[in-house]
Amino acid sequence: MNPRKKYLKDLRVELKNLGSQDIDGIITYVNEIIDDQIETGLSEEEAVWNLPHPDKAAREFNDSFSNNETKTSKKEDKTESKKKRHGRHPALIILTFPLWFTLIMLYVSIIITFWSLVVTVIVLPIAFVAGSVFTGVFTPASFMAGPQFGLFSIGAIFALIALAIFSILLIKVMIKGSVGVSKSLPVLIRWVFTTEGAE
Amino acid sequence: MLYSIAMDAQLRRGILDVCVLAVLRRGESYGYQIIQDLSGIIVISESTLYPILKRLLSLRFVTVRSVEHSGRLRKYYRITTLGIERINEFIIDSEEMLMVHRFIKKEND
Repeated sequence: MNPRKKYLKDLRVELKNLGSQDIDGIITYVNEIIDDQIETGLSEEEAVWNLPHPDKAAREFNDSFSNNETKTSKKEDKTESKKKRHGRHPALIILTFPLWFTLIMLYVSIIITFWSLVVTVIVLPIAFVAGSVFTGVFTPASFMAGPQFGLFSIGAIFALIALAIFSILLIKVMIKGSVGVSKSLPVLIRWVFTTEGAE
Repeated sequence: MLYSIAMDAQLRRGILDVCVLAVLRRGESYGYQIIQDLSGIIVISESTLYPILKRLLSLRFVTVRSVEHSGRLRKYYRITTLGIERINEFIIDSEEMLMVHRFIKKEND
């Protein structure tokens, strides 16, 4: 393994406590520093030699991040990075009232529609299970009418159970979607009333 | 004159931020060049500069762009008007600090 790759690999291992976004940024940055040193006439080995040992460099990077001003934790990697926000000018909020109020009301009605659908669909598996039970009760009577009717009843029972399972899965997906849409409402409200910027 | 690493960490961090801004005030620059430009004034390592640049970016004191250079990408940093204001604030604060320093020194003599 060439010296640069080995150095960067060792550095990446030492930086394991930082978020992946920070690690990638640091590796890109160090790579650039090595390339810049090579441009001044150093060899790759000399450029890497000039850098602190990976564990020392990692300690310095970690110490520099220790005030958490710029550190992105592994947890924050999975969520949107939180930027500083402050309130929009009150005059702007008042002037744009018709626009943001309509937007929020529209969003609320979408959320209500989603949840209404969920409640409606909840009835489906109950209906399917009730249907399969009812069909099961009358299956012996169906056999008396003829074997083809009995077999049809048994087939219907399985079909109704399958539909019940499918509708339960559908409900799960719809609930997940409705929760996601509902969670976005505070984000929308925050966007309406605040803006990003240096404090 | 090289300032030592022994100064208060927070003070040093604030000073380093403004030193980097002062280098960029002269013109757009990149990481390695910033370290070289500062090497005669203050001790700064590669691993210290990176979070400084990130912080300055997040505060919008600088902007960054990637430029193709010799077949690779190099990040160039440029100071913004907010960054220039920060330097001016630092100069005013420093003058006040100097007055306090003289007072304390006088009282201590």
